[in-house]
Amino acid sequence: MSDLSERALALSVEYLGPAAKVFLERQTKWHLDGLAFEALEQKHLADLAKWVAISGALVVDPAKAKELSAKIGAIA
Amino acid sequence: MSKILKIANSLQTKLIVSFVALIVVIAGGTYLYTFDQTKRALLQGTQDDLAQIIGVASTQFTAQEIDQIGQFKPGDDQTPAYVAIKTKLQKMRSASPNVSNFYIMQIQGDKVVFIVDDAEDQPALVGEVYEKPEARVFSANQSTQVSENLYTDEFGTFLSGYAPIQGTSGSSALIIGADILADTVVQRENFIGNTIYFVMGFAILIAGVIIGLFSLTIIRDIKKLNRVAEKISMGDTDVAVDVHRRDEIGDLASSFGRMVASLKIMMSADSQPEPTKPESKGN
Repeated sequence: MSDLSERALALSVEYLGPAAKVFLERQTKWHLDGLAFEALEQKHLADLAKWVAISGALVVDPAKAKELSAKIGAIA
Repeated sequence: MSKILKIANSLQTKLIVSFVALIVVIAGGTYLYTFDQTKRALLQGTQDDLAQIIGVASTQFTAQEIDQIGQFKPGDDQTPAYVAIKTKLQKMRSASPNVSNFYIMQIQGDKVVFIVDDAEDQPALVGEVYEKPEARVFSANQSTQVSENLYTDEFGTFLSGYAPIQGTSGSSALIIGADILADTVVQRENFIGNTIYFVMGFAILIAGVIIGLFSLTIIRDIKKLNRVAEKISMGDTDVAVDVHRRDEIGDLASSFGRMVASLKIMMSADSQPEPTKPESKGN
């Protein structure tokens, strides 16, 4: 798993619990051209953040989803 | 019956009962302590006032008047000299609103007899023996004395002060006495007691309202979490944890929210379509 994947997962677990990895894998698979979550790169972060905000709002409070999205988007 | 038990066992009831009990215990203890201390201070203040009044009153007689008073005999009650002294005592009473009665006595051996009494209605007569004098009356031929507590004798219940009339001393000294009615002292105590009671009651009311509101917000959020848990337990994952707090209940709500999010993610089938946006490249 790439360093970026691990950092995105660590952030997401705080909001989504143990299913965070499944959630992120689904976002990269469905919305980032079938990208494997473990292969996440810097160039994918903006898109992933966008989809975390959209899909996350279905499972957590929209404000929380937006918060998580901003954190993922800010990973340097 | 089960509804009553449910209410009795509810967290809201327990919280309110605990807080109310706490307030009552603290307020009750404070009330008792404060009232007792204030009562003592009030009695001390009244005793000081009385000592001051009687001290001043004892110096208001001329040498000639003192000589006249010392010579009054039974049956002199209507003589001009007697009436003049009685009128003087009544004027002193008018100037001291809290004093109900001024009188002059004399110690004769182990007895105390009245010489002049300023009462209009059934005054003690010249030579009338004071049946139940306070022990401290016998010390008043030397110095000013004030009752330690309310004292009851054949005339009623009073706080009394006694002082030797200036220029007389020894066993045949003339003593001036002044009474404050027990009712006056009790009224003052009651006023202080009622004031403290009112302030305490008001404080309890305000504290009760604050505690009530505080506990209601806690209970409201716990009930929200409970409703979410009930829905999930029945298989309905379309729930939102709408609790926003920065305390322990907020932490619980966050954990709960994480748990709900995980359940939603895990329970949704992998084949279920993800949300799309117009600019997305599609699933």
